[in-house]
Amino acid sequence: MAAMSPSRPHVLVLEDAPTYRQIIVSNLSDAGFRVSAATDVGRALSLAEHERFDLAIVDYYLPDYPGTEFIKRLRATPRYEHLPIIVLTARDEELNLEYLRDKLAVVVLSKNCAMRHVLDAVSERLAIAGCAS
Amino acid sequence: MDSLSEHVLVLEDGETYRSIVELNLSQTGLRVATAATAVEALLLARQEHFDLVIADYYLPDYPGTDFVRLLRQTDGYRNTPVILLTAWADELNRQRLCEDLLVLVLSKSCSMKRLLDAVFKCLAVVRLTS
Repeated sequence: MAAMSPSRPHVLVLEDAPTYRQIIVSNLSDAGFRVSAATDVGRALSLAEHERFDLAIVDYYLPDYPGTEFIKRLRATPRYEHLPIIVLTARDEELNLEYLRDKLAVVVLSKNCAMRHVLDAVSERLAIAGCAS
Repeated sequence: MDSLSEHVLVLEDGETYRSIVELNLSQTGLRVATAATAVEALLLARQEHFDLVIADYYLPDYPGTDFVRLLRQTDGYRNTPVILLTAWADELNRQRLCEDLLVLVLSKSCSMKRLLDAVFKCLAVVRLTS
């Protein structure tokens, strides 16, 4: 695991399922990212307000609202207007991926994809945003 | 099948919207039963026969699509019309859901008249095919 450094990109994970959340957090931490996790939209918004994030990974189907509601509220905040966001879903075949990509400027990934693929997407989005990992 | 006897199940966790849908359907002469959770709706579907189901996509216990999959495995509901209501209709792949689950996706922001039109069109298809 990389040594703690304040310059490391800070990733917010919004995922209600404890096992999958733990897997993502663990993999991101092992890859050297700083990670904060929330289980619902309210907590994630509170975290986003009090800390500074470089990227968010958001589950689509959450207990209180769809992850997209969190994204819309986050995007309404000037500092997160252009935040790279990855939406994770176990139901990508049920979602209108084109709409989500176009309207919310997010990357949509299936929860069935390999964790390596998620990590690649995180690094890629951070690189595009100009935030070195 | 007598239109007055047609039975509709409304699965919606939002109390206000559920009451509005129930009231509007009842006023057209349909018999209406309601459920606030997918589990409750599946129990009702096993106890009674419904000609059409209106289900919210965003539920506290299951996604509406998982409810539909479980409903399709229940005796008598393989081809029952299902209208899936959601406040986030644009975010769903309507065509895929229609093809895979035989559901019609409608936005909760659509008028009640449009919902009732969809209900009666679906029931008309049921009458023609039964």
